[in-house]
Amino acid sequence: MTSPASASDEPAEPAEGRGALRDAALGGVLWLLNLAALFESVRLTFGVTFPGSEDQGALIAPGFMPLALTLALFVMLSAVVVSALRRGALHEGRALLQSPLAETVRPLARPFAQAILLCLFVFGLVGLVPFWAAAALYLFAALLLAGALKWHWAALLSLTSAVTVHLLMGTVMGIPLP
Amino acid sequence: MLEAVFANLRILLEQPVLIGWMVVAMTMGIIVGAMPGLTATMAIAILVGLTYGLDPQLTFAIILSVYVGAIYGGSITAIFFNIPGTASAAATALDGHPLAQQGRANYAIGVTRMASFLGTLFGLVLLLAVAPALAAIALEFTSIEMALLGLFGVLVSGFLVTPGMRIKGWISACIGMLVSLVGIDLLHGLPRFTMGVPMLATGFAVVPVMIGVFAIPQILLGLTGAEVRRIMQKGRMSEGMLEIRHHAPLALRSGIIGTGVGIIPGAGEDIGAWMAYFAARFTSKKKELFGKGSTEGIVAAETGNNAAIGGALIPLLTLAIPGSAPAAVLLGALLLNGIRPGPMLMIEQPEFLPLIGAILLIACFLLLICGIAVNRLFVKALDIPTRVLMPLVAVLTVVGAYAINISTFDIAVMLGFGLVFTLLHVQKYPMAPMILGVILGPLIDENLRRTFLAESDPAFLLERPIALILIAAIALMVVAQLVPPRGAETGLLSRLGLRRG
Repeated sequence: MTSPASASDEPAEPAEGRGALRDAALGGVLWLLNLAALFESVRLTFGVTFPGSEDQGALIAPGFMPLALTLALFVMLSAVVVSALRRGALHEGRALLQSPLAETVRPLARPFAQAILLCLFVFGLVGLVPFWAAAALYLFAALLLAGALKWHWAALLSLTSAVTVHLLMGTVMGIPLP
Repeated sequence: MLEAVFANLRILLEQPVLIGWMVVAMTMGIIVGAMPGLTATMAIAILVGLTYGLDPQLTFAIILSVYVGAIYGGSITAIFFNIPGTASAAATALDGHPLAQQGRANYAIGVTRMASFLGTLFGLVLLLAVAPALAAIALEFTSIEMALLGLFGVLVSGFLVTPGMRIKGWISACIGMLVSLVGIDLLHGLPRFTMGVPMLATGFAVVPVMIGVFAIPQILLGLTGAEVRRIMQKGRMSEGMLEIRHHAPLALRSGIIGTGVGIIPGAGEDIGAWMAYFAARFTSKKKELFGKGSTEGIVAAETGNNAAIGGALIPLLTLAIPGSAPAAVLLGALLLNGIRPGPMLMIEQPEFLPLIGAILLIACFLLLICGIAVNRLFVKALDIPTRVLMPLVAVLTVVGAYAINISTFDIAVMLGFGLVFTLLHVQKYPMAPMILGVILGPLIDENLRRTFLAESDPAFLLERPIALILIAAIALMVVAQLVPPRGAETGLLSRLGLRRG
C-alpha cells in the first residue's frame, strides 16, 4: 500500500525539483481566480441595497463574507507568490525552458493520462451506458494504464468488480447507481 | 432516571429479535459510515421511511444503532485509505492513516473502536444526567457566538494541521469557505457566484466535495506513484483497545468537548471531533507526533465525534432543536412515531428518555463486538496492491458522490474538486481545513450577517463574554500568522518582504 496523498503528509516547503516555480504558478493562477471573485464580491456588497436596512449597509450584504475572504486570500496568495519568487521561481522557470521537452513532459504523462481516463469515465461513459459496463470499461483501462495486471486478469477483475458493485450496491443494498 | 434506564435495559435484553435487529443495524451502520459518500444522515433518512409502522421501540433501536455505527464507521476508511467515510472522521484520518502506513492499522482500529465506545457512553451519561441544564447553556450561544465559534474552528484547523505552512492551511480554509458560499444566499435570496448556471443555485453539496478532495488525489497519485510498496499489517485490535486505558483523562476531556459541541444546535459530530482533536494537540506533551500517527489524536477525534451523538440528542429531546444533521432527521422519525420532543417530553412521555438511554447503552456495547468482520475485510483490502485497489476505489467514489443526491452533477463536482485539489495537494496545501471551511462557511456567513442585522451597535459585544473570548483567540491566531514566534516558520509579513524573516 502506498499513500502518496496522505492528509498528514509532513508539511514542508516543496523544495524538491521545481517546487518554487510550481508554487508561484499555482499561486498565480489562484491569485487571478481570486481577483475575479473579489470583483464579484465587491458588486455583491456595494452593488445591492435592501430596503429598511440602510444602516447596516455592507455588513449584511450577501457579498460581505466573500469580500472578507477574497481580501484575505489576496494578501495570502500574494505572500505565497512573492515568497516563491524569492526562492528562485524565475530561475527554475528559465532552467525549465532550457531543458528538453521530453524530460519535462514524461513525469506528467501518466498522472495526466489517468486523470483523462477518469474524466472519460465520469463525463463520457456514466449515464451513456449501464453503470456496470461503464465501470468495467474504466477499470480495465485504468488497470492496463497503471501496468497493474496482465490484460486477461485486468479484464476478469474489471468485469467481476463491476458486476459485484452493481449487484451488491444497486440490487441488494438498494443504493441508486448512476 | 438510572433505575428507569436499567428497567428498560432488562426489557430490551429479553427481546432477542430486537437485539438481533440492533446487531444487523449496527453492522450496516458501520458499513454505511465506512463508505465515502454514504452518511449517517442518509442512512437514518432512509430508515425513517423503512421503519414506519414498526413498534417505536424497534424503530428507535434500529435507527440509533445505525447512527452510532455510521459515526464510528467513518473512521475505518479514514485509517485504511485516508478517505474519511463521513465528515466526522476527517480528523481521525490525520493520525489514523499514518498508523496504517506504519503497519499498525489493526492497532488504530482498536483504539478508534474503544474511543468511539467511550465517547458514545460519555455522551449518553451526560444526556441522562444533565440534559435540561446543558440545553439551557447551549441556548446562550446566539448568532454571533455561533459565527465566531465556526470561524475559530476553521482558522484553528488551518493553523494546527500545517504547522510548517500555516499560510497554506488558511488559504485552504478560505477557499473552502468561499466554495461553500456559492449558490442562493439564504438571507436575501440573491445568487452568489452562480455564473447563471442553474445547477449552482443550490451550491455545492459537502459530501461530493469531500469525497473529491480526499479521494481523487489519493487515486491519481496512488495509480502513478513511482514506488508501490505493500505494507503488511501487524498487531491486533485488542492492543489498541487496551491502549486507551493510558489515555483515560484525554478520552474524558474529549468526551466533554464532543458532548458540549454536540449540544450546540447545528454544530454536529464533525466539529465535535475537530475541537477535541485541537484541544488534544494544544495540550499534548508529544505534539510532534500529531499528524504522524499520534494515538492521542485518534483517541480525541473519535471520542469527540461519538460523544457528540449524545450531545446532539440533548437539545433535540429537551428543546426540539437538533444538534446535528442526523439528529435533524431523527426529529422527523420522532414526530412520525408520535413522540413530541421539547420541554414537555419528560412530563407527557416520561418513559421515552430512559428508553433512548437503554438503547444507546446496548448500542455502545454492540459497537465493541459488531463489525469485526467488516474490519477484517478492510484489513485484507490493504494487502491489495495500490494500482489494483485505486481504480476500484474510484468506482466507489462515483457511486458515493451520486447516491447522496441522485445527481450526476455531484459526480462532476466530486471530480472537478478532486482534480483541482490534486494540484493543490502536490504543493502541500492541506485538505482538512478546506473541508472544514466548506462545512462551516454557511454557518459563519448566515450567523454573522444575522448578528449585524439585529445589532447595528458593536457595543453589544461587551455584554457577550463568550464572543469576546472567541474574538481574542482569533486575534491571537492572526498575530501569530503575521509575526510567528522566534524559531517558527516564516511569517506572512516576511513572505511579503515587509519584515526580515
